[in-house]
Amino acid sequence: MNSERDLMSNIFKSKKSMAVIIPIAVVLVLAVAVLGTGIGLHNRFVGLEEKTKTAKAEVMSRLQQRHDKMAQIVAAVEGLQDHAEDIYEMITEARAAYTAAQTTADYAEADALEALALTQLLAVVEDNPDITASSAYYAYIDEVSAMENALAVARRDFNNSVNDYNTAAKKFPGSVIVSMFGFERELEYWKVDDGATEVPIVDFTD
Amino acid sequence: MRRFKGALIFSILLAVVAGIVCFGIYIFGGFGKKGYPNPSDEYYINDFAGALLSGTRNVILAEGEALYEDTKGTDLGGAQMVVATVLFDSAEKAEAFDRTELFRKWKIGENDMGLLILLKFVGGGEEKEFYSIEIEIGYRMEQFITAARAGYVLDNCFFNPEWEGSVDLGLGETCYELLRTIYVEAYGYSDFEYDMADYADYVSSADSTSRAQLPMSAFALIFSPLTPLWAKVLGVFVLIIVLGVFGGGGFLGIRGFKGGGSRGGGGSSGGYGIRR
Repeated sequence: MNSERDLMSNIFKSKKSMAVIIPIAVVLVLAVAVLGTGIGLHNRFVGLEEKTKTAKAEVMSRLQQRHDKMAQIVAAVEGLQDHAEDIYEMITEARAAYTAAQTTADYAEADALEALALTQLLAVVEDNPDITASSAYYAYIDEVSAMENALAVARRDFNNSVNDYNTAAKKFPGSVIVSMFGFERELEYWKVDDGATEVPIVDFTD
Repeated sequence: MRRFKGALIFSILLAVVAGIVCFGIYIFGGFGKKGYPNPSDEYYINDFAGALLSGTRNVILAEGEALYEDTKGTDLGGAQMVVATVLFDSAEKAEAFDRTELFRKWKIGENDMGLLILLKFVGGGEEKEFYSIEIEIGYRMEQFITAARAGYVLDNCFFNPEWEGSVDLGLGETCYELLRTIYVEAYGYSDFEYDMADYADYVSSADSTSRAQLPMSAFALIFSPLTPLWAKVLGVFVLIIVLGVFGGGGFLGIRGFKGGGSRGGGGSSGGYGIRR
């Protein structure tokens, strides 16, 4: 009789303790799941942010290559200073815009300004028979063409990475993570049409 | 209990069918991601347009393999030079085909020491016309092969008037000159010698009945480094089922299976290149 009573008492106790343990376990499991998801999403945003930084660095590197190539072309065209002062001004203006640039839109505008200067520069070069008659001319044209194509790919890669980031940041639960950890809510695209003109089209078929 | 068993068997069958369908879509989905083909089994030569003579293919394959073997393990990493020909039914489609996407998909060159030569043809069947030749240069290779150098090689080798418009001869000299640049400029070789007369003799004497190559076969693709892990696991799973169902034995006889699969070095490029 006593043992039956003990057994009943134990069952009652274990049921009581189970009633406490189960909700705690459920809460713990949920907490672990939420924490795990949160960490995963946080890390995903860190990765996406890094990807855009890398892509932007590639654009900047390609822009630097364009600076250098323009300087080479300018140096190669003798007497350019005398009859193409406006191109020098445009190049200087574009360089100043780069130096002052802070946002992606600023850089995009400086990029467009320099593209316009490059187009003008190439037009002057084409009118210079001393240059066009030399093999160096074709080398310059090939270099400029390759550089502009690489720049276009770098811009596209950057915009794709921005698109990935922005899409993830706007969707739930990404939007919550963005607010919680202070990530940027939206990154700026590299708008090619910002500023004066589009990128130069180099035609090497002539 | 019987119901449970039935449900379990049904679930397993459903999972197997779903797996086969997913794998099939991945493997046999035509030209794969964004319409860009997988590389051929031979990797270094991908004559999808069927535009090259077998001799040209043999030489490009042998030189591509030799370049990688000679340069792998160096500080710069193994260089890879890959040639592809693609046939389009319109000029618009040829224009839209992006060599950078193809380079990135095929992951040419270790440490971005890759080079892709892409020849585009327009037409259908036997009627195909040369459209353009493009060279895409891997990120790290850019410092050794500039666009100016690549342009010079195309103008003087591919369009060499001595070859009288022969794509095979022009492509041969182009490849040799680019190989010379890679060996000498990047890897410090004193020279890289070749003889165009020997090459021309070989190409003209080799069997000329070459058919268009196909993108990598499904079974080679399973073991390719380009294939994600989930697809490999699923592929092996399907392979086991197929072998189980058909009793095995034909495994080694499967056309195109060479065990090695793609040999892309993991390289990438940024659109730097040239076209004519």
